[in-house]
Amino acid sequence: MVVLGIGGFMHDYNCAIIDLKKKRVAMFEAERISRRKHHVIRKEDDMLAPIRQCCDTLDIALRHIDVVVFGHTDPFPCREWIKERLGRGKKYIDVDHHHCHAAGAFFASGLESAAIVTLDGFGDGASGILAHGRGKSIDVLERLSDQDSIGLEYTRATYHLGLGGYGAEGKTQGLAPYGEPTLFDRYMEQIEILPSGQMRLGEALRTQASRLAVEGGYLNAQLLNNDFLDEQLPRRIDPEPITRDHMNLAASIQKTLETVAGRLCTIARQRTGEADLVLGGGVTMNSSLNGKLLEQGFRRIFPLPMASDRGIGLGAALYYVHQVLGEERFFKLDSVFHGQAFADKAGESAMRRAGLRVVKGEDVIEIAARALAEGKIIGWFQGRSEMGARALGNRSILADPRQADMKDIINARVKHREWFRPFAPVALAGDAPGYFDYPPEVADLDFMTFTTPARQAAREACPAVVHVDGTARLQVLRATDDRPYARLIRRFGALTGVPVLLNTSFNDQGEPIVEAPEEAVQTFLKADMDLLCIGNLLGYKS
Amino acid sequence: MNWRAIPEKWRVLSTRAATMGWREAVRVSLMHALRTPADVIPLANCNTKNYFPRKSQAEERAQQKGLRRAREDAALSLHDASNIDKIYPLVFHHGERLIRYARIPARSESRGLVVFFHGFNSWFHTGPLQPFEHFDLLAPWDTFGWKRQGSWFWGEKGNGFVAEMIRALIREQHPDPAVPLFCMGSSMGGFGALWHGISLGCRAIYAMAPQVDLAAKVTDYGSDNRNNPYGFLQGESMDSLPDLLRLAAERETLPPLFLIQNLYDPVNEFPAHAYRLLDLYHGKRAWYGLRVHPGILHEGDGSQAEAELFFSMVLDRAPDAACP
Repeated sequence: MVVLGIGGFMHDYNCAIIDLKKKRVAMFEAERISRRKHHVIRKEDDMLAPIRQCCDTLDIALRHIDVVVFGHTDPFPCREWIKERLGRGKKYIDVDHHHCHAAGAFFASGLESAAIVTLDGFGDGASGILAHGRGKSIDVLERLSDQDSIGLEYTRATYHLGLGGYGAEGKTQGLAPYGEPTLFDRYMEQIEILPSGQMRLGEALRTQASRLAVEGGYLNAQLLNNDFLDEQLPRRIDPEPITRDHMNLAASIQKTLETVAGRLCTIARQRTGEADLVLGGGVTMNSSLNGKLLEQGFRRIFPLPMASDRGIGLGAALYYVHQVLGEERFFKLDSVFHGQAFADKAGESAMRRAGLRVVKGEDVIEIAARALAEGKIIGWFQGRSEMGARALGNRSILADPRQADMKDIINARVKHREWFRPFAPVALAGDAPGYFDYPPEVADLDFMTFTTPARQAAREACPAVVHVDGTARLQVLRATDDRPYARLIRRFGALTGVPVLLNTSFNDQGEPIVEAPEEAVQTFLKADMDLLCIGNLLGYKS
Repeated sequence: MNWRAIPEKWRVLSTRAATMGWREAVRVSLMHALRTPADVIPLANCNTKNYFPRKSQAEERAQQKGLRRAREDAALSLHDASNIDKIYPLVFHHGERLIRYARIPARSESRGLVVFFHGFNSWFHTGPLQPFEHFDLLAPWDTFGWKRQGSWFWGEKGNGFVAEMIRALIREQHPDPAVPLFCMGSSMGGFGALWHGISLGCRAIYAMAPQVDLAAKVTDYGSDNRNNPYGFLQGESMDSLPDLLRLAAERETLPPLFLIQNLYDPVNEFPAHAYRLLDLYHGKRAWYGLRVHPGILHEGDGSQAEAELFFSMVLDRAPDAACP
């Protein structure tokens, strides 16, 4: 049986296919092909591209799909489009959005049982659930209403700060350490968490009067406003200056989120009696929140790397396979490299077409490590692309973290983004504990899902990857990792004495991460980078 | 020879032949002979189905469905309100304040500049912004007023600083007075189009469901001052509000106006708003076109395409009229 899970009908359209007979899983995000960040479905043609990509990965045809599982129960029109395209003969199943978030996280975690907490903005009338995962089943303990959404409140604050809205919450997270949580108490006065895990938001955190929404005709903007924020400070419109008040608001909503989510996780542990915690939903993409949860005494914590709607297709398919069909668990997410791979020939062709000087047959690792040690910024393109929002070494921009001003250089000249946004370090498991303070027995830091405190050694040796509050969103590679990415870090460490690299996603402001060599070359030409490494090729600007 | 004995059409033909040659004269005369009412009234080219109020129920349903579909399309394209700033990528600094705007060039040769004023809370009643075929488009984003959702392109607390910014922006973007200037907008943007269009003496205005009497809107909200976006405009007294009717009354001439209004618009009731302005237009014998349709919501069936037709018609009929 072949099961297709699809979701992200509001944003981040994606799918996953599970071939039950061969126990194989493929997944893909539409934005990588469409080149529209957070891909919002606009027309029917958009729908099949990622499904075909998954079929190609598994070497099957569309007609081999037996069951289609939708990761939403809301009546999106695109469900009918899919049915028309794939044929009415297949079985079509609807699964609640948060059940998919929970299933994606729990069934991919490899944990036999765990407390599950999902949190996002809203979906199918809920903003989160508390659940108990055991073996092949998930029991929902509590369902949080979408009227009481802490995730949406975080998005509102982001909107109010003029940083964007959905998808820009990471900017608020990056700004938060610059401020003081002066509004935290006022926030908490508006939030009530019941012992059951239910949550109620006060009147001021609700949206504006519906009469105005009708008059303005704009429900979406209505969702992004509330009285609480308007009473604190006027909404900022980019590019108005970011003031201390804005930083304080960012710090306040971050602390509020950490407090609320922390309490919900504690309640989930109490109600399930489990020592392990699994996290799903877009809110748990907040690595600072996940870092705080490391201090709460859980035995293991697993946040799904594509916890937002980017992983909803996977969740829908896993839910059907295990919860509905009762199949034995076989899948554990060890790698997020499920995207497309390209031969060196394609890279060479793209580079030559763009007029780059191509060098073949050289030791890419050695040359790249030396370039990094000299302060050069390189584009790194290897193997299959990553699923999810984080570049984990196959579509990355890499730089030397020893230079304190490297953060400002990359923000301004390469990524063209806000000055306050930090960059992440990557290190090998053997070296990372010397620079960063984290409990390896509690969490794997393979997927850059946690922010951890930096030790003094890191602050001194690699200041470009330590944020203003002394933390870093660390990626740790296993000591046995022999990918070119790991070998590059080792070689850089041997050359400089600092086995840590600065890693950021290979894209420009407002674009998805590059997927194909052509896109890598375009981004390389647009940004102020010095060297492009695609497979075993080196590309230089002529 | 008795000149009057020759039929008029032959006289016209010979007059044309004298100025444009026989070949062109015959072509033009044939075109005039064969034209239909739709050619005579260019606006009838679009939405002809909606032109007359008598419709069968089936037509009515189809129209409502079309409107709904258009609304859904617009909502889909504006799905994420937080990305509206991307629609207005440019920034105009004026004193210590800034305003974002879009400037979209015409697809082909430009015949003028259209200033597009959006509705409250960034809403586009005519769907997502599109380039015009023959007009450049300038669209300011009003991020002032109540909760920064709109100040009627005028100002706050009795201070019309936004209107000054808009005028400065138009001056910068429209430096050549010989280039025709037009204004269009809906609801709050309809007020903006009327206010700025009449103030600047633009060539024509296309407005949908505009607020006309802001003082009346202030009192609509009764004692709910906290959620009153109109109250946010006024200073100490009602006199500090922009008075569109007085502005129009003081003008010797008014720009041609095409206005679309739902008969039962619950936000801007026809008698309290559009009708009063049209009454003024009527009194001054100024040109106006009005399409009332029996909708019951705060919307209309206008479009950028229709606005372009209207502006083109104005230019075609009076190509040498005075520019602002």
